[in-house]
Amino acid sequence: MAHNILEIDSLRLAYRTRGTVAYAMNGATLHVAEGEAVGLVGESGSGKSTLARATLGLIPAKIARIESGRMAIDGQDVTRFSEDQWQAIRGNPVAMVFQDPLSYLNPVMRVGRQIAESVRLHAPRLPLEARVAELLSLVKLPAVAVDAYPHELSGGMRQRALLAVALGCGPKLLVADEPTTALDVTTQAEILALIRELRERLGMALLLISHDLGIVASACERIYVMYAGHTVEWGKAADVFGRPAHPYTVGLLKAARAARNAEGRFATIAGDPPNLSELPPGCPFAPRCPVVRAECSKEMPAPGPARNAGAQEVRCWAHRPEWTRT
Amino acid sequence: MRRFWQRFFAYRAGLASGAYVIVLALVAATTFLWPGLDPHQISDHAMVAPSPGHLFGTDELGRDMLLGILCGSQVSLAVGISAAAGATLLGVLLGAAAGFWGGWLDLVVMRISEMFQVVPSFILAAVIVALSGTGLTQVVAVIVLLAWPQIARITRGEVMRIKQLEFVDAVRCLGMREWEILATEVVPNAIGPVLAAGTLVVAQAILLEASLSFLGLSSADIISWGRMLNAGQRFLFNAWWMSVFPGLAIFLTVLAFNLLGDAVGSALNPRTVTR
Repeated sequence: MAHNILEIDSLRLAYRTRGTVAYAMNGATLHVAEGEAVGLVGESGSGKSTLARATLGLIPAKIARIESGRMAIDGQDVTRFSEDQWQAIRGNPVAMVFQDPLSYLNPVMRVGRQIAESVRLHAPRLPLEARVAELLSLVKLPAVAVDAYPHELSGGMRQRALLAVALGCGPKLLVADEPTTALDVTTQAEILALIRELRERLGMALLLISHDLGIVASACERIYVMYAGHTVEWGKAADVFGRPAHPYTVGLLKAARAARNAEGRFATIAGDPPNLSELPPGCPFAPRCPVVRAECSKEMPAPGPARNAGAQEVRCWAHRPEWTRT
Repeated sequence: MRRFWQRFFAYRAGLASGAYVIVLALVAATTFLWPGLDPHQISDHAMVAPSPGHLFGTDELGRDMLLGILCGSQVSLAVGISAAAGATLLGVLLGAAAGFWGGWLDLVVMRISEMFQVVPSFILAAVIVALSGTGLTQVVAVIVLLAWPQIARITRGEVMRIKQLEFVDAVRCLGMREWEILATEVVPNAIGPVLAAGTLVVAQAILLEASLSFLGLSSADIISWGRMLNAGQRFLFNAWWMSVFPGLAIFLTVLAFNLLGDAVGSALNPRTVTR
C-alpha cells in the first residue's frame, strides 16, 4: 500500500466563542495516499473548509481547539504542532489553492514576484527567473503575465497564477478548496483539466474540496462525503456515486441529478443541516433521514462496509449487521 | 515604477507641486554656493519697497528679502523632510507591529500615541523647545515626537485591515515567517495612505517650525521664514513686503506638500485609473 501523505483519524475540532461551542469537525476521518486524487464533498457548513484549513495549520489557535483525534502529514504527527512547526511544513509538503483567487493574491504585487516568493522560500537554489517562467508555462499562462497585477487578469488566469504560486513550493499534496466555484462553467472545465494534467505530470496528490459533485466525480479517484463534521461515507468514486450507501449521499445525488419526485418537483433533502453548536446526540443526519430508527439518535455508528452497495465504508446504522434484527 | 510615474503625472496638481518642491530643493541645496550673495549682508537701503534692484524689497536692516527667503527654504525643507522621515519611520514600525500582533503591544503603543495626541501639540512643542534650546535638532525631535502617532494610527488601521485578507493566509501557506509576511506582504499594501500622510507631515512640520520661529523660539543666526515673519509683523503697516513674502513662501510650500501627498497617495494605489 502506498504511503499516506495525509492522515486524519476521527478528528474533533471545536470553535469556542463567547460561551458557544461549535463542533466544526466531529470525527472526521480521511486519508490521502501519495499521488492519489481524493475528493471531499458536503454542503456549506459541513466542515469541509475547516478540514482544508486544518491541513495547513490555519485554524486560529485562539478560538479553535483540536479536542481529540489525530492528524499526520507525511508520516509526521501534526495534531499538537506549534505555529513555528507549522510554518516549517507549510507549502512543502502541503500547499493550498483557494476559492476566490483575487482575494488570495497580493493586490499590490506583480504576479511574477508572488510566484518568485514561493520559489525563493522552497527552492532557493533554482535560477529564479527561469523557474518562474517554467511555472507560468506549466499553468499555461502567457509569459507577459509576470508583469501583471492580479486585478489585470481574468478569473481563470488568476486561478492559474494561484496554482503557479502553490506549485512553486513543490508540494506532494495540493489541497484545493473550492478551486472552481468562483469561475464560470467553461473556465471551471479548463481549470479542472489543468489540475488533472498537473497532477499526472508532477505526480502530486490532490485533495479536492467542493460542494459540486460533478467536479469531484470527474477529477477524483476516491470520495469522502462529509456531513455536520463527520465523514459519513467514503470509497472509490464509482462506488460512492454509482451505488451510494448513506441516506445522505443518496439524497445529495438525487438533488444533484435534478431527479423529480412523485409530484414532479425537484428532489431535495427535507429539513436543514443541524446547528453545529447544538448537535443532536447520535447521528447528525437522523432528524432528516428517511430511514431513521430509534438507535440512530443514541449513538453514531462506527464505520463499516456498506450493504447492497459498492465496496465503500459508511457510518450508518442501516448498514450495520445489527439493523436487520428489528 | 513606470506606472507610478504615469499615474503621478496624470495628477496635474501633483505634477505642479512636485515641480515646485524640486525647484525649492535645488535652491535650498545651492544657496551657499552663490558667491558674494550674503543674506546677512546689511545695507543702507533699509525697508525699500519691491523694486528692480530688490525684487521682494529689503528689511529694516537693508537685507534683501528675496535672498532671505531663498536661504530660508533650507531650514524649512531640512526640518520638514527630516521630521517627516523620522515620524514616518517610527510610526510605521510601531503602528505595523501593533496592528499585526495586537494584544498588549497594541494596547501600549496606542495608549502612548494617545498621550501625545491629547496634549495640545503646539504648546507642548513650544515648552520643549523653550526648555531644551532652540537648535534645529531639538525642533526636529519635537516634531517627530508629535507627528508619529498619526502615522502609527494610519499604519495600524491599514495593517489590521490587510492582515485578515485572504492573501495573507495564502502566503502563510507558503511557509513564510510572520515578520516576513508583515514586512513584505502587509506593509507594502498599507504604504499608500501612509506615505501620503507622511508627505502631509512635511507640511505640518514646516508650519510648526515656522510657528516656533515666529514666536522667537529659534536661533537668531539661522534665517528662517518664521523668523522673517516675526521681524515683519512689527512693520506690517510700513513695509507689507516684509510679512507678505515670507508668508507666501510658507503658504505655497505647505500647499505644495499637501498636494504632493494626494498625488503620492493616488499614484501608489495600483487601482487608480490613469486618465
